[in-house]
Amino acid sequence: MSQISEQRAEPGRPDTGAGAVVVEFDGVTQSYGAHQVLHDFSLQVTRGELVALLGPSGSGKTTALRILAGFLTPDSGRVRLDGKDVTRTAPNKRGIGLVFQSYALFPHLTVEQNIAYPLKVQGTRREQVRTRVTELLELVRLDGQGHKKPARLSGGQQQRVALARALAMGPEVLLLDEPLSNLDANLRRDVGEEIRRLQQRTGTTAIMVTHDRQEAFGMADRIAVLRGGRIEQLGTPRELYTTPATPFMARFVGEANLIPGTVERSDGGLAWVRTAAGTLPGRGQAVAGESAQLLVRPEDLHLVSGTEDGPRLQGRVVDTFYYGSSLVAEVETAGVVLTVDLPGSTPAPAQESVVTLGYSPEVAVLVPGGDT
Amino acid sequence: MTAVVPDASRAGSRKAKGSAYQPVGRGTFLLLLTPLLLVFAFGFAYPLLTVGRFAFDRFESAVGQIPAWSTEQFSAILGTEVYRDLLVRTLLLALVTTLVSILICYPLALAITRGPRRLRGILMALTLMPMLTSVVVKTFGWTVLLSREGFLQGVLDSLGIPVQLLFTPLGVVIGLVHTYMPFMALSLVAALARIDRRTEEAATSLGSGPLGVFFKVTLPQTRNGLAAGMVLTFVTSMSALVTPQLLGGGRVNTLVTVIYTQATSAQNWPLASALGLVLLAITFLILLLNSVVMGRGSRN
Repeated sequence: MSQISEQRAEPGRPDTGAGAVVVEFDGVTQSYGAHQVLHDFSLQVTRGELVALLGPSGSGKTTALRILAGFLTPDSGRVRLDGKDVTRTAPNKRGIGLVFQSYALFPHLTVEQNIAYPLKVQGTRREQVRTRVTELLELVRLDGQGHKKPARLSGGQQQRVALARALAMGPEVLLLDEPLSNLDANLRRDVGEEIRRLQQRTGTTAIMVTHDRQEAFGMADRIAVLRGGRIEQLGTPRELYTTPATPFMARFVGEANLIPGTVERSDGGLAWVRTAAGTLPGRGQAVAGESAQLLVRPEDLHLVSGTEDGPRLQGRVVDTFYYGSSLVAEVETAGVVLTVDLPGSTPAPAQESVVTLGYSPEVAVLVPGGDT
Repeated sequence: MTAVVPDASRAGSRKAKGSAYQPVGRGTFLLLLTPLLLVFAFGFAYPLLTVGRFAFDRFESAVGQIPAWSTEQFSAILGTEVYRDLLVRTLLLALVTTLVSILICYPLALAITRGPRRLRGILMALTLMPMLTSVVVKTFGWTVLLSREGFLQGVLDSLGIPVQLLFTPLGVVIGLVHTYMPFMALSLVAALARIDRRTEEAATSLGSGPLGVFFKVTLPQTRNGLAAGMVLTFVTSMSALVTPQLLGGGRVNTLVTVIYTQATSAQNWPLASALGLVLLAITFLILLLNSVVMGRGSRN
C-alpha cells in the first residue's frame, strides 16, 4: 500500500456490481442547528473509481467530504471504509489523503519536507523516505523543486505538491476539494487531466467535490449531483447528459431546450409528446396522459431546408449570435424560446424570419415531470 | 524595531507600489519628520551622548565626578564579582519572566483566537488590562497580595509550603510577568490569527495526533511571533525599575535598580552611566540575535 502501483486500475463498474466497495455512505444525515444539510445520504464508491460530488454551494457536498475525512461526525448514518465502520474514527486514523482547495501546504517546510510529512509520522526509515519523496516528486513532475518553500511555487505546482503529499501516505481514498478552482482558467483542463492520469496510474480510489460541471465531467467516472442535501442523480457523465432524471438535472448539466407537453403514446423505446409546437418524438417510456418535457440539446437541433424525414418544429428567429466556431440562434416556437447551436459556417438567418428546425428522434429524451 | 515587527515594513511597501498617488516631495517629507527629529535629538540623542561621556569619567566619593577618559567603570563592572552576579541575576530574572510568559500566554492566545467568538473581546480586554493600569498601582496591589499577611502568602503558608513571596526573586518574577505578558500575548495572538487552520487539518488527515499537529505545524508557524514576544518581554522586563524595586524591597537588585541608586543616592553618575551602556549593549545584542534568527527562518 505504501508503494505507488503502476498497474492500471480497473475502473469500477457499479452498474454490474463488480469491484469492491471502498467507500460507503449509508443513510448519513447532518444538520447545523435547524438547517439540515445532508438528508439520508447514501453512496458507494468502488476501488479505483473517481466519483465527483457535484452541486451548487449549500448542496451538502463539502459536508459529505468533511464527514468522510472525519472532521465532522454525522447526526445519524454510517460511514464505512473497506467495509469497516469509521463513523467515529479520528481523522488521523482513517488513512484518507485530503487535497484541500487552498492546498494547505505547510508554509514553514520545504516541498520535500511537506511530502515527507506523512511518511515521518508513519515512522518510515530515513533512506526510504528519501527514495519515496524522490519518486513522488518525479510522479508529479516537480523534480529539482524539492528544496523550495511552497510560497515560491506557482498555483499549479502547489496543487501538485498537495497531491504528492496526500499520495505519500498511501491513502485508501483520495479526497479532492474543488481541486481546480484556485487555478487560472487556461490551466484547469491540463491540471484536471493530469490529476485524472495520476489517479488512474496509481489506482487510487478518489472522491472529488466541485461546483463546476466541466471539472466533474472531465475527470469523474461517475457523478453524484447534489441538491439540497440529497442526491438528485447518480451516473456516468454521459448518462447524466443524455438521460437526465429531472428537469433540474437537464438544465444543470448543460444547455437545455425543454418543451412541455403531454405523453400521447409510447412504443419501442420512443414516446410521442403532444406539445404546443406539435406532436414530437423522443427516447423514453411513459404512460399516455402524463405530463412530461421533451429535452433537445441545442447542438442536436439543425435547420431543415429540404424535405428530409424526421420531426419538425416551426419557429421565428429572435436573435442570432456568431461565435466563430458556432452560430447560436434563438428561435421562438409556440411560446418556447429554443436555443440552437449551428456550425459557424451556417449563414445567419434573418431576424423575424421563419425557419424549420429538425432533430433525430433518438437524441431527444423524455424528462418526467411537469414544467418547473 | 523593524526586526521585532517583521511584516509591517513589507506590507507597507507592497501597498505603496500599487498606489496611484505621488509620494510627497523630499522637502515636505523632512518637514513632516521635523517634530520627531527635534524630540529625538534633544530628548534621546543628547542625553544618551551625555551618559556615554559620563561613563568614561572617574568617581571618588570624597570629590565626586572627575572628568576623564578612563575605562575604570567598565573594568569594575566586568571585573568585580558583585557586578557580574548582578548582570547574571538581571538576565536570569528576564529569562524566567519570558519563559513563564510563554507558558501563560500560549494557551491564552489560543483561547483568544480559537475560543467562543463572544468571549474573545472580554479575554482580550483582560489581557490588555495590565498595560492600561499604572505600574505603581499594580505593583502596590501585588505587594498587598504577596505580603506576609497577604492572601497568596496565606495560601502558601496554610499549604505548608515554606516559600516567601514578597521581597524575593519569585515575587519580582510574578510582578514582571503580570506587567509584561501583554507583549507576549499580543504577539502570539497576531501570529496564531495568521495561521491557516487548514494546515492543521491537513496534518491531522496525514496521520498526526493533536500533539503532533501542535508541535510540527502550529508552533513552527508562530515562530516569528514567539520570537517577537520573547524579545519584547525580555528587553522590557530586563529594564524594569518599579517592579523589582517595590516587590524586591531592596533585597532583589537588578542592573536597573543599581543604576537608580547609584545615580540618585550615591550620585555616582559615571558608574550608573557605564551600567546603562552595558544594558543598552545587551539590548542591541538581543535585537541583533533576533533579526539573525528571523532572517534565517524566512529564507527559501
